Amino acid sequence: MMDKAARRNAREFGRRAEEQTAAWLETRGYRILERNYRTRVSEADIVALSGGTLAFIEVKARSGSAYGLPCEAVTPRKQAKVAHAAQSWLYAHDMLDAPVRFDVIEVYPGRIRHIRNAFEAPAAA
Amino acid sequence: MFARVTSYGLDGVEPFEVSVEVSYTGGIPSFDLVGLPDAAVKESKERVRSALANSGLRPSPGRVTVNLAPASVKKYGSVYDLPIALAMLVGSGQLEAGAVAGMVFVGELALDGSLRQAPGALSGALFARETGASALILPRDNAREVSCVDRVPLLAAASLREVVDHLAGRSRIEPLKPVPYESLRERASSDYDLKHVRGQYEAKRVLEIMAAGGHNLLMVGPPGSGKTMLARCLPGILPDMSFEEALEVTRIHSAAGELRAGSAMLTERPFRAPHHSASAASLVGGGRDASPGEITFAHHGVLFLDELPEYAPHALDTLRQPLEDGFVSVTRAHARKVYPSRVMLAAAMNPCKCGYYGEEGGRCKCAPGDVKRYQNRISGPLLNRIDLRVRVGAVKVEDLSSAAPAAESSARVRMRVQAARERQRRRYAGSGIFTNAQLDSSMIGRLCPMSAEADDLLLAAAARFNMTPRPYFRIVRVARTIADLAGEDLIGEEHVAEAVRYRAPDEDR
Repeated sequence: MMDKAARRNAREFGRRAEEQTAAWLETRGYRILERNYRTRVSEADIVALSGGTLAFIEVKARSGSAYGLPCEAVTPRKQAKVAHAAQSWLYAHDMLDAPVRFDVIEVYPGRIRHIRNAFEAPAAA
Repeated sequence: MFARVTSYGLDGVEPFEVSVEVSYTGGIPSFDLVGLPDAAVKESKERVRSALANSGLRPSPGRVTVNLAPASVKKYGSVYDLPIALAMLVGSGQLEAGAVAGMVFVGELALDGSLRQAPGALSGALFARETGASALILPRDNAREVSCVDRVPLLAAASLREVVDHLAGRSRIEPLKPVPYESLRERASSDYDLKHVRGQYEAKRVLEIMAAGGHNLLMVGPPGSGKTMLARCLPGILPDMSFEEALEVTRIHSAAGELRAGSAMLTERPFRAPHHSASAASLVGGGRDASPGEITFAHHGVLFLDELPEYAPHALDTLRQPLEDGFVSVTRAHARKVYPSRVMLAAAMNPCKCGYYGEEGGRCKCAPGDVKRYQNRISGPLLNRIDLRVRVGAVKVEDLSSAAPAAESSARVRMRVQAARERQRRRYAGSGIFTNAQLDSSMIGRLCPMSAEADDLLLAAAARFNMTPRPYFRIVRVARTIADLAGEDLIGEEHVAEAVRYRAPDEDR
């Protein structure tokens, strides 16, 4: 297990990757509406608006390839959390019928990969 | 946006319309499939998504709801993949709604977008014709199966891409050219031919009567006497199936997924020989979805039960009603289906446990009580439904010698059978029955005129053997068939005399 210092380091690393990503998105015409939106049980890293579609973006950063692809870390459980956060955000902003998308952005040292429509909400039932 | 594509489902073998509806809305992207799908239908989401992507088609993401209407009827299988994929393309504006209107679609998708065989395609083709659809689009693997259906355009495609290009007008799939049923009717030469069966003249004669009149048959004889071999020769002497019969038989096998990919309509009468460990449900139908049993797969053909006393008595008794009525109603908690079951039953058994009771030379080692017990395993009511009973003795050595006359071929026997069937068809036109085996007592008086000598002989036999009405009518039915084979309208003395030979051994006592 990571000790306290390492965990603080990891959090710092992730936060920097999110900042980098947000800036990158803005250069591509995305309007960042919210960063680190949290409910009691879920969170979304970035909420952005692009061409009339709301994108809920999960940012995953890796400094190396030792733990597999970053996008593989977005497990069904994590997807459900982002979907839950999205639902709650849409409700709070009274935008339940707006077109929505879930993206994953992978951040590598010196490179960013954007996966649009990376996943959808798990089917009801 | 909303889209609707027409497909069909099967209730047993009967098709009913299924509307595949797709609705795209805003909100959180998801894919929901509703309308009582079974597991295979539910998984269609993954196949459709992958098939679309690998066909270079990308329906816009969004909140997708797929509904299979009527929502209250359970949908089975993977055949809705193609209509779902097309409805998604229409719903996301990549295909005109007008392009799919009026057509019926069916087919399973492979992950690469190619189309796989759909069970029940023949029922679907008839459905498309009856409902006046402008076309049925189906997988290429089903093309030969539906090739005899005319008066409706049938379009066979190999892949989703082909279907989409056709609907978008970028390329064209030519409708299948209807093939006349007669052209399919060439008989595969069977390994089982009566010309290979030496001796056993009486048994062969009885097989001919059975085939000609549609009677049920019981063969009793020691092991190795050729009962099984004789039964296997039956398909070769049965009359050709009419187009209507072939339609029914093929639909049953197709709906149950028993047709090989690329198989044409079935032209040979089915011959089903379930092992004696068969359960009641596998013989008459059952299971969670009330699927058809062996007696339905043998519809218009032969159900052969070898080693009859080895079957579970309960399983045998469930055959009684379907044998009598020609249909079987299979009811389960969640399904109720009616299947046709007009079969000829051929059964074979040993006369006793060791198999040699009644043979010359006293080879039988069974105690008299054991023989009785063995024979009693077949219930009376089932035996009552068997018109023909014959003892198949051990083959005589002199019949095996090369000097013995060559046996008659199945093809020649079939010609006589066919002629006898034709006489019956003419006689029973409009009466609702087709064969002598279906005659009931009220019809016998009207339709089976008998010479005075024949009548006298029958009455004498009835008195001599203490006959009740049931065996009496059985003898008349068989005599009617024997007369038909002889080309006589009037049942004569010799026909009755022969028929009396084939009555039940247990009724002698």
